[in-house]
Amino acid sequence: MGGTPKPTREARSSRERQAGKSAAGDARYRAIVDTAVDAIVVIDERGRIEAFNPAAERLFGYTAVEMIGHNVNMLMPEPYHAEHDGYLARYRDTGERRIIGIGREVNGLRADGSTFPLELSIAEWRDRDKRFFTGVMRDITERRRAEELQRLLVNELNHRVKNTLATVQSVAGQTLRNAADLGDARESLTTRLLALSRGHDILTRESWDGAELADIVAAVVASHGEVERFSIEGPPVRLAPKAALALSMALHELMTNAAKYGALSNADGHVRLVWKRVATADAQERLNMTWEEINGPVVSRPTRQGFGTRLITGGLARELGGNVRLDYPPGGVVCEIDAELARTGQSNRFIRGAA
Amino acid sequence: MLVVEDELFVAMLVEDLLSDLGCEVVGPAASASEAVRLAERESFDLALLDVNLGDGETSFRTAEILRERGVAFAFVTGYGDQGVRPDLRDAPIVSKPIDPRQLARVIDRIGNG
Repeated sequence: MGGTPKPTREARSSRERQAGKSAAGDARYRAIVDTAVDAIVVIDERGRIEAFNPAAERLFGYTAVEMIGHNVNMLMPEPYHAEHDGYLARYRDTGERRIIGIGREVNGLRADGSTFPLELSIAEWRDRDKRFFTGVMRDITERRRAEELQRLLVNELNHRVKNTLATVQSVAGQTLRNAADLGDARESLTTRLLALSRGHDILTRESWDGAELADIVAAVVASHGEVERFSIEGPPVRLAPKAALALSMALHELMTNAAKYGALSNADGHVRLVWKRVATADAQERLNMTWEEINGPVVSRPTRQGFGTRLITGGLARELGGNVRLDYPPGGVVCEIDAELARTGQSNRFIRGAA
Repeated sequence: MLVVEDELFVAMLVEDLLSDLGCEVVGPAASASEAVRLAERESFDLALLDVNLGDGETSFRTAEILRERGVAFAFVTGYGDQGVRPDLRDAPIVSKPIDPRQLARVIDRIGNG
């Protein structure tokens, strides 16, 4: 057998089938690039754009026709715009990789002049003796926003933890200063921390956006366990987080005092807890709330100011922007709270703003 | 001493610690506007300012007024100095929870500065 065999019909048709397959393969690859969610831009080794897929058109606001043949640095804000040709030249000369094959977060420049953060990965490939780079890009504005929000929340959490520790320091310090003995101190401190925790529970249920007065009252009464000894009545009133916490603690102190010395310390006593909204002359609304102990033992004004009295007449009044009167008529303790409703109604703008 | 602190229990704590140190308290102011009002009108020789006053408010305006009046002040914060506006970071910081010894040192420092 000698000579070169002529291509047979079968061989010819096989080559044609190969070419046909290759064309079909190109079409499939084009479809993949054209339908990709990520922006894909191909440049030559001098930075001239060779391909610009539809996702890139959407991302940057240029059409492929506008971009092909232009320097890719058009898509970069300064200083990258000016430096990019230098990066490419250095890579051609030294092979030093800053981004190729690695990927990083950079800024993009849209047709309308706005900039945005994007995640860029670059692959290098060759076609015969020419070198190309494929950049795949994704807008990470949303991710950046989420990261920023997370950073804010972690900071805020840290701030709140420190404040809460300072609050515990305050409650513990005052309890110890006023306690009759260590057993009394342990008992008071424990119930106060539990009361503080219940107040936080109510606020957490509503994402620290405030709380309903009735919910605060119900939680404090439920913690005492004898619901039938209370008559409770009042309209819906929204309290800001800090006012809610202060009121919750003040009610806890009234409750503890009543259980030790007042209307909840004997068999027949009960507590009337009522509140109403009162319109004032200047079109403002005020909250009037009364805690009244009935049928309890005879009470008298305590000889020294403890934590509860200080919290109720000082701190609570300040927090509510109003007046709080605490009286000890022989019939039982009466506490009257008069507060600005505007003040009690402020919501927690920080968390809202951040979310 | 002017005290600015929006957290009720922390304000009580600061009052107690200052009274242990023999200081008389002006305030405590619980909001930025109340703090500014006291800073402009009341008389006191030192001030202790909580940085973050809730609802995004701070005590920085109060600090500016005090600086103009020549009244020394320190910040109280759970954020560290990152929470303080850069031009006010030369003021000492008392961190929360409050170490009474640190509070005493800071008051001594600003009182004699």
